[in-house]
Amino acid sequence: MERLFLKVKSNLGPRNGASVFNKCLNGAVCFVLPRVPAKFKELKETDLAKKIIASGVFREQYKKSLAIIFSSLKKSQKKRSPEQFCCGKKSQGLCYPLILRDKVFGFVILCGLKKTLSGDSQDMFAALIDTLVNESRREVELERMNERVKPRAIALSTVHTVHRLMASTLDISELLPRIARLSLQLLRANRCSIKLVDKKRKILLPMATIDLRKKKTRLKKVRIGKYAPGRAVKKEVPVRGENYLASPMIDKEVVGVITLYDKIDGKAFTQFDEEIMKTLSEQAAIAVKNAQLFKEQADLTLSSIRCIARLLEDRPHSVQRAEASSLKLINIMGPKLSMNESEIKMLQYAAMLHDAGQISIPEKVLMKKGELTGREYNIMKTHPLKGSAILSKFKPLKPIVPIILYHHENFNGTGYPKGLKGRDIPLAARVLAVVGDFEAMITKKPYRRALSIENAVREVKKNAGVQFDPHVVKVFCEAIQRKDVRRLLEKELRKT
Amino acid sequence: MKDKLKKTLKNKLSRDIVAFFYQNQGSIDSVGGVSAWVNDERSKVQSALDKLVKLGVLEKDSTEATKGYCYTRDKKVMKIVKELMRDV
Repeated sequence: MERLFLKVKSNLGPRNGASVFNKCLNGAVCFVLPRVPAKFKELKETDLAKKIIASGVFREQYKKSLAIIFSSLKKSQKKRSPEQFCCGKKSQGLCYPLILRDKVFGFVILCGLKKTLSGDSQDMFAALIDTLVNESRREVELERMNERVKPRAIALSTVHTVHRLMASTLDISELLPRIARLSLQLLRANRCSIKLVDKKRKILLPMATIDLRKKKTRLKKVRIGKYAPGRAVKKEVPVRGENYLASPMIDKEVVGVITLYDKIDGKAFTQFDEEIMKTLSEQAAIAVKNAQLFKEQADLTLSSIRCIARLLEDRPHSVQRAEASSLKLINIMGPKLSMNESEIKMLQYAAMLHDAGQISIPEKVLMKKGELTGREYNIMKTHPLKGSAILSKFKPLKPIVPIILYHHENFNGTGYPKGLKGRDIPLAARVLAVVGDFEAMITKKPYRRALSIENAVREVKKNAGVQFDPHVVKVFCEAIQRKDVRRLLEKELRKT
Repeated sequence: MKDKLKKTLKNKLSRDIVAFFYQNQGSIDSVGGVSAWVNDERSKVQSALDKLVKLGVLEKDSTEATKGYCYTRDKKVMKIVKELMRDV
């Protein structure tokens, strides 16, 4: 009721209702009062009395006039109806009770009327006040609803953003620090540590930590059941103390635990903090599991590729490859050619398998020491097509199929199998053409000796714009100058 | 820092954004979310948010798909913002 009274008072302020009354009722002045004081003395000390005196409506007779208003207010409160009063010639007034659900929550006092209000004017005044009370009531209800809903809406929006941020990566090394950062932010804590469950050893392994304090804490393994993180994992419920909160990440089974320490404001962790962390931990558990599954899948794919590559290497005609250097070159060149992480990874897979199609080429063609006949060369030219056909059956490797298919296309359009030209050849295939050919040149083949690194680089440069994309060649030449690449190449070539 | 921030807070939108994060310090929100809270255009909010990130009042956690903005954890900056928000 107090809030409603203040709202009515504000709506009746000088810029709103009061000026309306002033104009409509010939100079009348409007005042509001929350309740009638028990004694007249108290009324004299109120702000209302000061305002009435300051308004000048009663001139010198203000004490007598205040006493008349006080008596009128009392009658109005008792009868719960408007009460007119007269403080002298041309100084009439009205006390109007503000009523909501049979409760009087204040009074509007109209002073300085030149004459007594007629019945019609009284009705109009009553209608105006009722409208004002109803509008004020609606405003208060809306404000209350806003106060209740807004914090929840903000929290919901935060949960949604956090979910989107966590779901946008499947790389666990990126995901865990992000979860730690977000948890720290949500709860305004100084330190967050994330530990994952190692089921075999029954311990928690520290995986990510963020510490905003000057004195950092060492990352420690924790036995399940020990300390707050260990207890939270064992009991599968959050464990909360004054300066710590450990929340287990559960998705059917416990994946790990997020532990927060020391709030920035120095206050203790609350039940509300626990609820927030419970929601975040549930989302984190799903994100961590997805990332773990993704990693398992990626490892499986990589193992399969390594297995196929090894099978190819073990064929009688095959030679030892400088695979590690090729992969490193791709890793360096990729970002400089604006390739993203996934594109680089697929290109590396393609580099490991680019000659997989040679498995379908007769050994006598592959092993031939002299120059190939036209027919043999045509057979040899089918290997990108055959390789891509074999690999297209393996779903995770679908993105590398066009790389394998087009890695023998020439930049000037004289390559095979389609005779694509320039930028019509996929970028990854243009990169593989350079790296793959360079690798082939520096490795010994049954039909020719290996070139030195310098000669092979010279050969690549000579073919820029003809066989190779000049921009890719430029990036390749920069990468090959690096000391770490040189060291790796020399190490690998010693083995071949 | 204080002078720069004082100057930035003369802009109503920046002031509204800082006030939102100051009152909801645990909040992490996207550009769309913040523009709903401060009731202003997304593009304007985006540039105001980036300005506040540069000033160190807000922090940004971004991925390819989402950008999340949140209040700073730097105690010095928090103290300055507290003083300035009292004056505003």
